[in-house]
Amino acid sequence: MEILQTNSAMLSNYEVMSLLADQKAQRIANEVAGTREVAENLRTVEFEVQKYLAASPCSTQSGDQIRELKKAFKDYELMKVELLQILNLRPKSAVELLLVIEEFEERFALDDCEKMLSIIAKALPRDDDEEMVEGGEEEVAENA
Amino acid sequence: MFNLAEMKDTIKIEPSGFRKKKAQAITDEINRKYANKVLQDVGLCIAMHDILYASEGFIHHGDGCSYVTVHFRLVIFRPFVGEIITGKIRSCNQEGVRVTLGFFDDIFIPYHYLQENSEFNADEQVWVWMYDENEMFMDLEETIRFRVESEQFFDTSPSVRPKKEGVDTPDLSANSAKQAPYSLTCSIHGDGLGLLSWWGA
Repeated sequence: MEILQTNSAMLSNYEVMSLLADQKAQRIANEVAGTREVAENLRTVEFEVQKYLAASPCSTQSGDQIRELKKAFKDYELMKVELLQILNLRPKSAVELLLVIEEFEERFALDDCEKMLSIIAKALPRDDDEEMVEGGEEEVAENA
Repeated sequence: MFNLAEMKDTIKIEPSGFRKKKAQAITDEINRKYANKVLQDVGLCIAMHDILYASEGFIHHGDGCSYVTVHFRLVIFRPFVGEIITGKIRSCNQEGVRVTLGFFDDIFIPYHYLQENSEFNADEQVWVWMYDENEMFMDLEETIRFRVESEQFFDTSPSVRPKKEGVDTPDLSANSAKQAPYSLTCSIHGDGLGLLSWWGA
Protein backbone atom coordinates (compact mmCIF):
# COMPACT_ATOMS: atom_id res chain seq x y z
CA MET A 1 0.00 0.00 0.00
CA GLU A 2 1.29 3.39 -0.93
CA ILE A 3 -0.33 6.71 -0.18
CA LEU A 4 0.38 8.99 -3.11
CA GLN A 5 -1.54 12.03 -2.05
CA THR A 6 -3.84 12.77 0.81
CA ASN A 7 -6.49 15.39 0.43
CA SER A 8 -6.18 15.56 -3.36
CA ALA A 9 -9.64 17.12 -3.62
CA MET A 10 -12.49 18.07 -1.34
CA LEU A 11 -15.94 16.57 -1.80
CA SER A 12 -19.25 18.06 -0.83
CA ASN A 13 -21.73 15.99 1.11
CA TYR A 14 -23.91 15.85 -1.97
CA GLU A 15 -21.14 14.28 -4.04
CA VAL A 16 -20.52 11.61 -1.42
CA MET A 17 -24.20 10.84 -1.19
CA SER A 18 -24.63 10.42 -4.93
CA LEU A 19 -21.42 8.40 -5.19
CA LEU A 20 -22.58 5.91 -2.57
CA ALA A 21 -25.95 5.57 -4.26
CA ASP A 22 -24.32 5.07 -7.68
CA GLN A 23 -21.91 2.48 -6.41
CA LYS A 24 -24.64 0.53 -4.72
CA ALA A 25 -26.73 0.52 -7.90
CA GLN A 26 -23.76 -0.55 -9.98
CA ARG A 27 -22.89 -3.30 -7.55
CA ILE A 28 -26.39 -4.70 -7.70
CA ALA A 29 -26.43 -4.47 -11.52
CA ASN A 30 -23.12 -6.32 -11.80
CA GLU A 31 -23.92 -8.93 -9.21
CA VAL A 32 -22.86 -12.43 -10.20
CA ALA A 33 -24.33 -15.37 -8.36
CA GLY A 34 -21.87 -17.46 -6.38
CA THR A 35 -19.29 -14.73 -5.78
CA ARG A 36 -18.35 -13.38 -2.36
CA GLU A 37 -20.89 -11.29 -0.57
CA VAL A 38 -20.58 -7.55 -0.10
CA ALA A 39 -18.08 -6.86 2.65
CA GLU A 40 -19.63 -6.25 6.06
CA ASN A 41 -17.47 -3.19 6.75
CA LEU A 42 -18.61 -1.51 3.53
CA ARG A 43 -22.25 -2.20 4.29
CA THR A 44 -21.89 -0.73 7.79
CA VAL A 45 -20.18 2.48 6.77
CA GLU A 46 -22.37 2.89 3.70
CA PHE A 47 -25.53 2.56 5.77
CA GLU A 48 -24.36 4.94 8.48
CA VAL A 49 -23.02 7.60 6.14
CA GLN A 50 -26.18 7.48 4.05
CA LYS A 51 -28.27 7.82 7.18
CA TYR A 52 -26.27 10.86 8.28
CA LEU A 53 -26.40 12.49 4.85
CA ALA A 54 -30.10 11.79 4.38
CA ALA A 55 -30.76 13.88 7.49
CA SER A 56 -28.50 16.69 6.30
CA PRO A 57 -29.37 19.51 3.85
CA CYS A 58 -27.68 17.72 0.95
CA SER A 59 -30.53 15.19 0.73
CA THR A 60 -32.61 17.53 -1.43
CA GLN A 61 -29.79 19.02 -3.49
CA SER A 62 -29.05 18.34 -7.13
CA GLY A 63 -26.19 19.07 -9.48
CA ASP A 64 -28.13 21.87 -11.14
CA GLN A 65 -28.88 23.55 -7.85
CA ILE A 66 -25.23 23.50 -6.86
CA ARG A 67 -24.14 24.97 -10.21
CA GLU A 68 -26.80 27.64 -9.75
CA LEU A 69 -25.50 28.47 -6.29
CA LYS A 70 -21.92 28.71 -7.49
CA LYS A 71 -22.97 31.07 -10.26
CA ALA A 72 -24.97 33.23 -7.86
CA PHE A 73 -22.02 33.56 -5.52
CA LYS A 74 -19.60 34.52 -8.29
CA ASP A 75 -19.63 38.19 -7.33
CA TYR A 76 -18.63 37.50 -3.77
CA GLU A 77 -15.04 36.49 -3.31
CA LEU A 78 -15.67 33.45 -1.20
CA MET A 79 -13.02 30.86 -0.49
CA LYS A 80 -13.61 27.35 -1.71
CA VAL A 81 -14.03 25.97 1.78
CA GLU A 82 -16.58 28.65 2.59
CA LEU A 83 -18.66 27.74 -0.42
CA LEU A 84 -18.35 24.09 0.50
CA GLN A 85 -19.57 24.78 4.02
CA ILE A 86 -22.49 26.82 2.71
CA LEU A 87 -23.40 23.87 0.55
CA ASN A 88 -23.07 21.31 3.34
CA LEU A 89 -24.75 23.27 6.11
CA ARG A 90 -27.11 25.48 4.12
CA PRO A 91 -27.23 28.37 6.60
CA LYS A 92 -30.69 29.80 7.21
CA SER A 93 -29.87 32.64 9.57
CA ALA A 94 -27.23 35.35 9.84
CA VAL A 95 -25.58 33.74 12.82
CA GLU A 96 -25.13 30.49 10.91
CA LEU A 97 -23.74 32.26 7.86
CA LEU A 98 -21.24 34.30 9.87
CA LEU A 99 -20.01 31.07 11.40
CA VAL A 100 -18.80 29.66 8.08
CA ILE A 101 -17.47 32.88 6.57
CA GLU A 102 -14.32 34.22 8.09
CA GLU A 103 -14.05 37.88 9.04
CA PHE A 104 -17.38 38.71 7.50
CA GLU A 105 -17.49 42.29 8.77
CA GLU A 106 -14.18 43.16 7.15
CA ARG A 107 -14.82 41.54 3.81
CA PHE A 108 -18.48 42.27 3.19
CA ALA A 109 -21.09 44.90 3.94
CA LEU A 110 -23.82 44.08 6.41
CA ASP A 111 -26.60 43.91 3.85
CA ASP A 112 -24.59 41.31 1.92
CA CYS A 113 -25.60 38.91 4.65
CA GLU A 114 -29.30 39.25 3.80
CA LYS A 115 -28.50 38.94 0.10
CA MET A 116 -26.42 35.79 0.59
CA LEU A 117 -29.12 34.18 2.71
CA SER A 118 -31.75 34.86 0.06
CA ILE A 119 -29.43 33.46 -2.62
CA ILE A 120 -29.01 30.29 -0.58
CA ALA A 121 -32.73 29.95 0.11
CA LYS A 122 -33.49 30.45 -3.59
CA ALA A 123 -30.77 28.22 -5.04
CA LEU A 124 -31.19 25.37 -2.58
CA PRO A 125 -34.92 25.17 -1.90
CA ARG A 126 -36.22 22.92 0.84
CA ASP A 127 -39.78 22.14 1.83
CA ASP A 128 -39.22 22.16 5.55
CA ASP A 129 -38.30 25.82 5.84
CA GLU A 130 -40.86 27.30 3.49
CA GLU A 131 -42.70 28.85 6.41
CA MET A 132 -39.56 30.39 7.75
CA VAL A 133 -38.58 31.91 4.43
CA GLU A 134 -42.05 33.30 3.88
CA GLY A 135 -42.10 34.71 7.40
CA GLY A 136 -38.76 36.36 6.77
CA GLU A 137 -39.94 37.92 3.53
CA GLU A 138 -43.02 39.32 5.20
CA GLU A 139 -40.90 40.93 7.85
CA VAL A 140 -38.71 42.54 5.24
CA ALA A 141 -41.79 43.81 3.41
CA GLU A 142 -43.17 45.32 6.57
CA ASN A 143 -39.94 47.06 7.33
CA ALA A 144 -39.78 48.45 3.85
CA MET B 1 -15.87 16.99 5.69
CA PHE B 2 -15.04 14.48 2.98
CA ASN B 3 -12.07 14.49 0.66
CA LEU B 4 -10.18 12.25 -1.72
CA ALA B 5 -6.91 10.39 -1.17
CA GLU B 6 -4.89 8.96 -4.02
CA MET B 7 -3.48 5.50 -3.34
CA LYS B 8 -1.59 2.69 -4.99
CA ASP B 9 -1.93 -0.89 -3.86
CA THR B 10 -1.71 -4.47 -5.05
CA ILE B 11 -5.14 -6.00 -4.91
CA LYS B 12 -5.75 -9.73 -4.69
CA ILE B 13 -8.70 -11.11 -6.61
CA GLU B 14 -9.73 -14.61 -5.69
CA PRO B 15 -10.69 -17.00 -8.48
CA SER B 16 -14.36 -16.76 -7.52
CA GLY B 17 -14.15 -13.10 -8.44
CA PHE B 18 -13.03 -13.87 -12.01
CA ARG B 19 -16.66 -14.18 -13.03
CA LYS B 20 -17.28 -10.55 -12.19
CA LYS B 21 -16.32 -7.67 -14.45
CA LYS B 22 -12.76 -6.68 -13.70
CA ALA B 23 -13.60 -3.15 -12.56
CA GLN B 24 -16.30 -4.44 -10.26
CA ALA B 25 -14.03 -7.13 -8.82
CA ILE B 26 -11.33 -4.54 -8.07
CA THR B 27 -13.86 -2.14 -6.55
CA ASP B 28 -15.25 -4.85 -4.30
CA GLU B 29 -11.82 -5.91 -3.08
CA ILE B 30 -10.69 -2.34 -2.40
CA ASN B 31 -13.85 -1.65 -0.45
CA ARG B 32 -13.38 -4.89 1.47
CA LYS B 33 -9.88 -3.84 2.42
CA TYR B 34 -10.39 -0.14 3.18
CA ALA B 35 -14.03 0.71 3.93
CA ASN B 36 -14.64 1.89 7.50
CA LYS B 37 -10.94 1.71 8.40
CA VAL B 38 -8.71 4.50 9.66
CA LEU B 39 -5.48 5.10 7.78
CA GLN B 40 -2.77 6.90 9.74
CA ASP B 41 -2.57 10.58 8.86
CA VAL B 42 -5.14 10.10 6.11
CA GLY B 43 -8.47 9.70 7.89
CA LEU B 44 -11.45 7.36 7.96
CA CYS B 45 -11.94 5.57 4.64
CA ILE B 46 -15.53 5.50 3.44
CA ALA B 47 -15.46 3.86 0.00
CA MET B 48 -13.58 3.76 -3.29
CA HIS B 49 -14.16 6.79 -5.52
CA ASP B 50 -12.65 5.72 -8.84
CA ILE B 51 -9.91 3.63 -10.43
CA LEU B 52 -7.23 5.69 -12.18
CA TYR B 53 -5.17 2.81 -13.49
CA ALA B 54 -5.14 -0.97 -13.16
CA SER B 55 -2.36 -3.26 -14.38
CA GLU B 56 -2.88 -6.69 -15.87
CA GLY B 57 -3.47 -9.44 -13.38
CA PHE B 58 -0.47 -11.53 -12.30
CA ILE B 59 -0.81 -15.09 -11.13
CA HIS B 60 1.90 -16.41 -8.86
CA HIS B 61 3.18 -19.97 -8.76
CA GLY B 62 1.10 -22.12 -6.44
CA ASP B 63 -1.62 -19.54 -6.00
CA GLY B 64 -4.75 -19.17 -8.10
CA CYS B 65 -5.40 -15.59 -7.21
CA SER B 66 -4.87 -12.71 -9.57
CA TYR B 67 -2.77 -9.79 -8.29
CA VAL B 68 -3.48 -6.40 -9.82
CA THR B 69 -1.60 -3.17 -9.16
CA VAL B 70 -4.22 -0.48 -8.86
CA HIS B 71 -4.02 3.26 -8.72
CA PHE B 72 -7.21 4.55 -7.17
CA ARG B 73 -8.86 7.25 -5.12
CA LEU B 74 -10.71 6.77 -1.86
CA VAL B 75 -13.39 8.88 -0.26
CA ILE B 76 -12.01 9.88 3.14
CA PHE B 77 -13.75 11.40 6.12
CA ARG B 78 -11.38 14.01 7.47
CA PRO B 79 -12.82 17.40 8.35
CA PHE B 80 -10.38 20.28 8.22
CA VAL B 81 -9.50 22.21 11.34
CA GLY B 82 -12.02 25.03 11.67
CA GLU B 83 -14.80 23.17 9.84
CA ILE B 84 -18.34 23.44 11.21
CA ILE B 85 -20.23 20.13 11.48
CA THR B 86 -23.50 19.02 13.00
CA GLY B 87 -23.86 15.83 15.02
CA LYS B 88 -25.79 14.34 17.91
CA ILE B 89 -24.83 14.33 21.57
CA ARG B 90 -23.90 10.80 22.61
CA SER B 91 -22.93 11.27 26.23
CA CYS B 92 -21.90 13.84 28.80
CA ASN B 93 -19.55 13.56 31.75
CA GLN B 94 -17.46 15.80 33.97
CA GLU B 95 -14.77 15.98 31.32
CA GLY B 96 -16.99 17.21 28.53
CA VAL B 97 -19.38 16.09 25.83
CA ARG B 98 -19.10 13.22 23.37
CA VAL B 99 -20.69 13.67 19.95
CA THR B 100 -21.50 11.15 17.25
CA LEU B 101 -22.13 11.47 13.53
CA GLY B 102 -23.46 7.91 13.28
CA PHE B 103 -20.52 6.64 11.26
CA PHE B 104 -17.91 8.37 13.41
CA ASP B 105 -18.02 8.51 17.22
CA ASP B 106 -14.65 9.76 18.37
CA ILE B 107 -15.59 13.41 18.69
CA PHE B 108 -15.00 15.05 22.02
CA ILE B 109 -15.75 18.55 23.30
CA PRO B 110 -13.72 19.12 26.47
CA TYR B 111 -15.32 21.26 29.19
CA HIS B 112 -13.11 24.26 28.51
CA TYR B 113 -14.39 24.38 24.92
CA LEU B 114 -18.05 24.59 25.97
CA GLN B 115 -19.91 27.90 26.00
CA GLU B 116 -18.84 30.21 28.78
CA ASN B 117 -20.67 29.66 32.08
CA SER B 118 -21.48 26.03 31.37
CA GLU B 119 -22.00 23.82 34.40
CA PHE B 120 -22.24 20.08 34.80
CA ASN B 121 -25.52 18.98 36.32
CA ALA B 122 -24.58 15.88 38.31
CA ASP B 123 -28.19 14.82 38.96
CA GLU B 124 -29.13 14.64 35.31
CA GLN B 125 -25.61 13.97 34.04
CA VAL B 126 -25.78 16.67 31.40
CA TRP B 127 -24.06 19.98 30.83
CA VAL B 128 -26.09 23.16 31.25
CA TRP B 129 -25.28 26.48 29.67
CA MET B 130 -26.18 29.34 32.02
CA TYR B 131 -27.10 32.06 29.59
CA ASP B 132 -28.30 35.17 31.43
CA GLU B 133 -31.07 33.75 33.61
CA ASN B 134 -31.75 30.77 31.41
CA GLU B 135 -30.62 27.20 31.92
CA MET B 136 -29.94 25.61 28.56
CA PHE B 137 -29.70 21.86 28.95
CA MET B 138 -27.58 19.81 26.57
CA ASP B 139 -29.73 16.70 26.51
CA LEU B 140 -28.59 13.47 24.88
CA GLU B 141 -29.55 12.85 21.24
CA GLU B 142 -29.94 16.58 20.64
CA THR B 143 -28.44 17.91 17.41
CA ILE B 144 -25.39 20.03 18.07
CA ARG B 145 -23.28 22.25 15.84
CA PHE B 146 -19.57 22.39 16.61
CA ARG B 147 -16.21 23.49 15.23
CA VAL B 148 -13.24 21.18 14.75
CA GLU B 149 -10.28 22.45 16.79
CA SER B 150 -7.71 19.68 16.38
CA GLU B 151 -7.31 16.09 15.21
CA GLN B 152 -5.29 13.27 16.71
CA PHE B 153 -4.01 10.13 15.06
CA PHE B 154 -2.90 7.27 17.27
CA ASP B 155 -1.10 4.29 15.85
CA THR B 156 -2.90 1.26 17.22
CA SER B 157 -0.91 -1.37 15.38
CA PRO B 158 0.53 -3.82 17.92
CA SER B 159 4.18 -3.69 16.85
CA VAL B 160 4.94 -0.10 17.69
CA ARG B 161 3.20 0.14 21.03
CA PRO B 162 5.81 0.44 23.79
CA LYS B 163 5.77 -2.45 26.21
CA LYS B 164 4.59 -1.62 29.68
CA GLU B 165 7.27 -1.97 32.34
CA GLY B 166 6.96 -5.13 34.37
CA VAL B 167 3.79 -6.19 32.62
CA ASP B 168 4.17 -9.40 30.72
CA THR B 169 0.84 -10.98 30.16
CA PRO B 170 -0.19 -13.26 27.36
CA ASP B 171 -3.57 -11.59 27.35
CA LEU B 172 -3.21 -9.25 24.41
CA SER B 173 -6.37 -7.33 25.16
CA ALA B 174 -4.91 -6.24 28.51
CA ASN B 175 -2.03 -4.62 26.70
CA SER B 176 -4.04 -2.96 24.03
CA ALA B 177 -4.79 0.68 24.57
CA LYS B 178 -8.39 1.77 24.41
CA GLN B 179 -7.46 4.84 22.46
CA ALA B 180 -9.19 5.55 19.19
CA PRO B 181 -6.98 5.59 16.09
CA TYR B 182 -8.44 8.87 14.89
CA SER B 183 -10.24 11.37 17.04
CA LEU B 184 -11.36 14.98 16.84
CA THR B 185 -11.31 17.63 19.52
CA CYS B 186 -14.02 20.20 18.94
CA SER B 187 -15.49 23.29 20.51
CA ILE B 188 -18.88 24.96 20.83
CA HIS B 189 -17.45 28.17 22.21
CA GLY B 190 -18.89 31.03 20.19
CA ASP B 191 -22.00 32.45 18.57
CA GLY B 192 -24.04 30.01 16.55
CA LEU B 193 -22.39 26.94 18.08
CA GLY B 194 -24.08 24.43 20.35
CA LEU B 195 -27.57 22.95 20.15
CA LEU B 196 -29.48 24.01 17.04
CA SER B 197 -32.46 24.92 19.21
CA TRP B 198 -30.40 27.58 21.00
CA TRP B 199 -30.09 29.55 17.81
CA GLY B 200 -33.66 29.23 16.64
CA ALA B 201 -33.26 26.59 13.97
